[in-house]
This record gives sequence, structure tokens and C-alpha cells, in this order.
Amino acid sequence: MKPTKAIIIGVVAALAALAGLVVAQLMLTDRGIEVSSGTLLKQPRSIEAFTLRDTSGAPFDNSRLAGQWSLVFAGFTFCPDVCPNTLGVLKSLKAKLDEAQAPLQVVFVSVDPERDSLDRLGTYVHYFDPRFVGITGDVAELEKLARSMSLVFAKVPGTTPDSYTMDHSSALVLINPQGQVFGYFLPPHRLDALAADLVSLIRSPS
Amino acid sequence: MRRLSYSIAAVAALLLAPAAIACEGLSVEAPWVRQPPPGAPVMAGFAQLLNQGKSAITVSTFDSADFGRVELHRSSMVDGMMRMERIAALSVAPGERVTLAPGGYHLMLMQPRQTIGERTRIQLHCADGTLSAEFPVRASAP
Repeated sequence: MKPTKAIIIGVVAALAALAGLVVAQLMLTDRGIEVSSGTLLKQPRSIEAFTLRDTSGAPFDNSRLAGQWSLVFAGFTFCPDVCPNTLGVLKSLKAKLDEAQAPLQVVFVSVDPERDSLDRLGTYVHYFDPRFVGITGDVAELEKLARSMSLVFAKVPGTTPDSYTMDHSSALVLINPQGQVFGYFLPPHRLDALAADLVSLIRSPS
Repeated sequence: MRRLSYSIAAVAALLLAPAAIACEGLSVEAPWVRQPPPGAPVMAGFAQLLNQGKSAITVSTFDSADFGRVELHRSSMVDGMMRMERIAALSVAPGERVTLAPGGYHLMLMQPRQTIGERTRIQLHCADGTLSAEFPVRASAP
């Protein structure tokens, strides 16, 4: 290949890359709603059919995510550090959204059904806010929900059979009133930014 | 009777002695245990471990009369995953301060033997003995 030809190819490649970046930028901002505390999906993603149970024993399926905005967090009650910390943030968040009259359903999904009975889960979740919804169920159903939400969880053995722990995604998943995954918020969570973003999303006409 | 008091004194001396001489140079500062949701199967304890001695101190095990088992764990976020791993032993270098705080190192307090009220006592075992510290129960860091 002649040097000039190589240069031309290089320039064309660079221009193409630049054009790609510009297009990507336009596509990322085309929703018109910017959030400082998380990432919104370009295209909301539907959630495959799943059925879990809430802590009252009632079925919790896709229909329970429709008609309102929801924020979903995966964890387990044997988690003494990160889960109470995050639920504490969600409790303060909920109070801020109440003030702004921005309704939001907060859902804590236990990925440890082996140890988290509905009773134990209910006591744990409702300590933070009695309106928080705790759900869990069969591992196969949990996996369906996790897959749709791009969440992962895995059991990690402990020093004894009953002291295993769970690795789990740390993201808060935002679900729109159509029951679709709408965006993600990753820690460390900044309460004020998170609240401001959610208020503007929830109160914006959709 | 006198013999019995001697025995009691001897036992008391044995019980108290390690706390007095052990973990030379190590101190536990700002300890606290997070107020757990009712019936929580595990709790987390936090503190700062400060080594003002001349040599490194390794804390290998922990225990408490209030819990069936106490372990040192570390939370970390790796590629968006929240992980919790057990740390077998913690070495504190001379002059070093190791912080146990939410989102990082914490004492994992398992199998509570009763409802924990306002405080709990936790023992740290070093190579040369034991250091005992009282951890108040709080909603958030002091």
C-alpha cells in the first residue's frame, strides 16, 4: 500500500469514528431528560413474565410494576452492611419524593429465598418504611426478573453451610409505569441528586 | 470460705489479665454497631483500630458473648457487583489506623443470642492476648 493511500484510509477511518461519536451522543441525549445520578436506557426494555410473592403472600408479577414508577433493589437480609445502608438511603429518598408529591413504589427483592422467609423479609423491609414492598420466590423466577433487569446474583460459600453470603448487583433499577426497565442508578448514591432526577422524571408528562 | 474467695480472685485475675496486657499499643476508637431491623439475623460493627505500638499487630479472631460467631468481612463493589468476603486476619502496622466503616471492612456479628439493647462487648484476639471493647448501638456513624 502506498503511503498516501494509507493516510487517506486513516483519515476516512478517523472521520467515521468521529461521526459515530456524534451520532451516539445525539442518540444518548435524544430523550431530552438528563439525569445526573444515573443512566437512562435509550429504549426502555420490557421485562419477561415472572411471578414472585410479596411479604403478605400475594403474587407479585409484571402487573404490579405497571401504572406507577418503581425503584427495585436486590439484596438479602443476611447482608448487614450494604443492604441496610441502601435501604436507609431509599427511606430518605421516599420522604423527599413524598414532599414533592412524586409517587414511587420501592421494591426490595431478596435473592436469598433459602434463608429469607416472607415473614423475615417483611419485618426487615418494613422497618425502613412500611410502604416498601419486599418480594422473593423461586430461584428460577428470581433469575427471570434478574435477567430482564440485567441484575446478577450468586451464592458464595462461607465458613459454615449456613453462613454463605450473596454477591449481588448494587444498582437501583428504575421501572416506568409501562412496567419496563427505564434506567439504572449506581452507588455511591447522592440523595439530593437522585431525588431531583426522580422528581423530574416522575412528574414529567409521559 | 477464704479458700473460695481466693479461687474467685484467681479466676477473676485470669479473666481480666489478658485484657490488661494484650494487643499492646492497639486501641479501638469510635466503635459502633448499626441498629438492626427487628429480628435481623446479622449485624455489622464498625470502629477504627489504631496501632500506637512499635510493631505490627495482627488481629485474627473476634468473639462476643452476645453472638454465636463474629467475623471480619469486607464489602466491595467490583464491576457493579456488591461483594462481601471474609478477611482471615487484619494486620495493623505501627502508627497505622485501619477504619472499619460502612461499604468496607466491618465486623459481621452472626447468630445473636438475644436482642441486643444499647451496647455489646466484642473481644479482639491478637497474637499476645485479647482486647475487649464496648460497641454502642447507633442508627448511624458517630
